[in-house]
Amino acid sequence: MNNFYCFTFCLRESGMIYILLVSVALAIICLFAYFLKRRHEFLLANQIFMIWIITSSILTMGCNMFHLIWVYLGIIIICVLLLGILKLLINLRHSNLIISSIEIISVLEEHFGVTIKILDIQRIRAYTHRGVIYLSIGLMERLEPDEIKAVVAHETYHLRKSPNKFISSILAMISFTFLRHSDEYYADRFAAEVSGASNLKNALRKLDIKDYSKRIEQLS
Amino acid sequence: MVKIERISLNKQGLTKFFSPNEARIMKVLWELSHSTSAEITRECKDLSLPCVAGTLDRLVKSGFARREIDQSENRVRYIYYPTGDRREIGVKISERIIESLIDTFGDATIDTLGKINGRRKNE
Repeated sequence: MNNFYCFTFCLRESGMIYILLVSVALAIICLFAYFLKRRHEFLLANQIFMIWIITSSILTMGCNMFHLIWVYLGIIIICVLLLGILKLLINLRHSNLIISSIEIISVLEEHFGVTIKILDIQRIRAYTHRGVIYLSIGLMERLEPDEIKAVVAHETYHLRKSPNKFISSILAMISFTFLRHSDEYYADRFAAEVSGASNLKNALRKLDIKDYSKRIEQLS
Repeated sequence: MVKIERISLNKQGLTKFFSPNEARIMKVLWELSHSTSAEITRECKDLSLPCVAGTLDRLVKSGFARREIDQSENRVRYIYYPTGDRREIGVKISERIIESLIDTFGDATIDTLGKINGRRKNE
């Protein structure tokens, strides 16, 4: 009676536990990939997670309904926890904010019609989140005002014209494809037009951004 | 604070307790009393700005330096200060090491310190 005959497979009672354990392991891998900012690996781990959920659904198709409900409940709880931790991590990233009214920021906010917030961290960070551009002090102290303008122009493009990253990620996840990076190229072109190519090139060089030489080459 | 496992007694000067870059930057901070990462980069010509900034960040996290945000001259930047002069940092490091030795060797460490102190006085 300890055997469950599911679809064409046979799972013992412990099979349910294994399904849950694998789900927990995959959720942890997703979190690690996010925490280490490995965007591709994060997406890949999520896609594997989805494949696993589909596979476990097939495996448990003929199982005892009581056990099946517990397995699905477990997977749902893991997914909710995963999303909760992700949200917490995202919020923590925005916890070191300075509310500042320095002139250079006010001028840029007015010029581009955006809201800019400054992060009290030494690491180089420039990104958009929920309609706001975030710049770190580490970035601001390394760049001249015109170069900061180029960075803000680049981020403004992402804010206004880039496809929604969350929706793109979900679409990429369910279609088992990857995100395109051509968006960076168009954001660079826009920034070069608005603030001057030399300023953007200098900013990319000073910040030692990954693939900066390739991006500078594309601007030429 | 200084990690015991990072202490290398076979090295020279401050590099016994700090990495070579940390030691150089601490010297500049003691000399200038406060400084920005750009000023320190000018003093340590062979170090890049990202290297200096990263090292300063580590020094802040380990409690040897502190930083304040400066918004003057229409710029945003950090100004770094040492948390103590060379002697005060020396006291902190010595305390940490001696406490660790006392934990391990007990009275033997205290006796040895007494002997060394007496010998120094006689010299």
